[in-house]
Amino acid sequence: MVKEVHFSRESLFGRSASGPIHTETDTSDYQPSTSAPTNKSFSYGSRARRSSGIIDSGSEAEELFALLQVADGTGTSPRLLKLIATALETNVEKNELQERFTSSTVGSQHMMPTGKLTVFHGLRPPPIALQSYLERVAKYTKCSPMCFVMALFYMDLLGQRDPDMLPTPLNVHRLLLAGTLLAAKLTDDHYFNNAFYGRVGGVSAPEINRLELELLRLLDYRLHVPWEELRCVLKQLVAGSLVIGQGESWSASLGRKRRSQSGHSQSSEKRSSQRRSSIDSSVGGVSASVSASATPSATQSLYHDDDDDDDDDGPGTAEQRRR
Amino acid sequence: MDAYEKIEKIGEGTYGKVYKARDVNTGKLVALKKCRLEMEEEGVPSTTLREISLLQMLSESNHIVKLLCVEHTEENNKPCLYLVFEYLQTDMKKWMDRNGKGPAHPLPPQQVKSMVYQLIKGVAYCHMHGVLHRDLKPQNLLVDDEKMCLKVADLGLGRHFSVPLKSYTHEIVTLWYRAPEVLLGATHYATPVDMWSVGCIMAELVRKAPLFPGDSEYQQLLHIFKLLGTPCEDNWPGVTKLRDWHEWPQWQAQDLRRIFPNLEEAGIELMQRMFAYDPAQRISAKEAINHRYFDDLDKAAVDALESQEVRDRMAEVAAANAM
Repeated sequence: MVKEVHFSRESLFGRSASGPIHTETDTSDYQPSTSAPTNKSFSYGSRARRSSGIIDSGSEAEELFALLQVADGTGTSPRLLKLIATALETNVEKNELQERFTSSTVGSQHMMPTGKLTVFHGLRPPPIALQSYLERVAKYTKCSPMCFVMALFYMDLLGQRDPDMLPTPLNVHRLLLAGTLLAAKLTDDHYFNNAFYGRVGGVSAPEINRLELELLRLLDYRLHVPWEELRCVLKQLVAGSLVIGQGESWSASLGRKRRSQSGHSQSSEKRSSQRRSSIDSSVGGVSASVSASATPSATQSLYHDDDDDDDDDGPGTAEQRRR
Repeated sequence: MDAYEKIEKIGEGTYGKVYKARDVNTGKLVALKKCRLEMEEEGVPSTTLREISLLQMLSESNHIVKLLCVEHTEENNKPCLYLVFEYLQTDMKKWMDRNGKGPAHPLPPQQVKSMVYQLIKGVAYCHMHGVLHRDLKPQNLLVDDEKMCLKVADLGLGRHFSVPLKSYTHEIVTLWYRAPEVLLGATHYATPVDMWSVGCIMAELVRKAPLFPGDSEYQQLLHIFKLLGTPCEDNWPGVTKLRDWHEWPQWQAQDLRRIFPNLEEAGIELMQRMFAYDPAQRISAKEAINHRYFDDLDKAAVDALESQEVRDRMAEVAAANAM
């Protein structure tokens, strides 16, 4: 029987932004990994572009390259998805252990961050494990495996710039979804549109559009990730030592350098800071009303049976595939 | 967008209008490329994402149009992106025809040589940074009339090739400038597709008319085969295995000297190397820069312009970082 899951959450703009997410199997509530968090900090390695082409020689290179091959001509290798899920769960757990989150008085399902809320924060953790979520996105969007690695890179960059953007149970799914969408649009010649990604990822079309725009803005519209950096992310995934948003990597300093180069006028910078403060204030208003009014009993059921929809075609239609 | 004063509309693309405008603070002319985000299903168009991302990486070169900044605004309660570019008076198509259309009004050979050299430098810069342009045509090449400077623009179809990805689309490049491997359905192609386009543009500069003006993929291939001869396994290993290969009429290659009587021998040789059927044998941009056709060109003048521009840019960045 196919279950339909809703990511229910008060959106930043004061209305619910929930969307369907069809899953082939029942998914348990989000369970962070129990493995101990690693202390090894994450750095991107040499800034210089390799002249030797796409990848280094040797067995390590072959292993990394194998991770990026399209599995059976259909999608991302299960091993890569497993590695990413494990790394994210470890990072999420580490961030929780650092008491970035405190349980809300509203109920055990509601966890309100001590830092500022962003458009990526939900009201409660989505009831789907990260690995299941990754498998679902990979299965239906059929994006290049590289897109997931790029999404990780974006998450790391955000975490370095702003501790409030580190992955947590409340934001990790949306960060992953928006990052993968942007990476697919940037690198893949055939990709599905935002509405389709929203249906696959459990958010509405207006919300996925907001997530996309906000992630673009936070990344300063700089989406290209040099192969050298992606290779470094892959190596750390394989080694199990990926720590998101930690350490002064060259990409963080490059980010600052890039911003100084980007030619934005001072008035433009002022405008963007005003925009940020208006977002923050709207978040404050929403979080106050949420904690005051939401109760577990009032919360919409996260699952409901849907006997009619037992086909395996996935959400959306062929028209939603672009170019 | 108060920082810019629109002067006139100068073009219209798939996703919005292009305006000539003035930066209110500096008085400099800019081009504003408006990107509508009204397509709720699609979000930010991939062409816009790619153009922003690639140009931020490539704008250091004096032969790539400069993206000055990106402005995110709202118009009629709808989000809107403006890409702010340096302003150039004309594109190569208009520049070519300004003193009369057709072979009766040839361009001075040294002007042709300078334009081709600058085009190759721009393309080489893209390729050096792992970017395929994939839509090179006279309309996408901007010309500064005063400095006689050419700049590659419109990277909306561009793509990074330095990371391993899924197969590429064959719906790239305006038909007249499309390489035969793409027309024959190759799903993995590389930098030689851009060099074929450069060859077509060079031919058009010399002839003052398009070389292969096909109106369908089939007709396009016939145009090419009639002039360059029908390819075979001898001159293009693997051609008969391409998806859209079938038995074509057999033509012998024509002598390019008869087609381009005013082009010097070295120019004919360069063009022949750009029109090599086998992509592996086609001349690269890096090689083409050093071709003997350009021996009598004042390269130092072009290169000095580039170097000075980059030096100024670096000085700006250093000053900004010091503040």
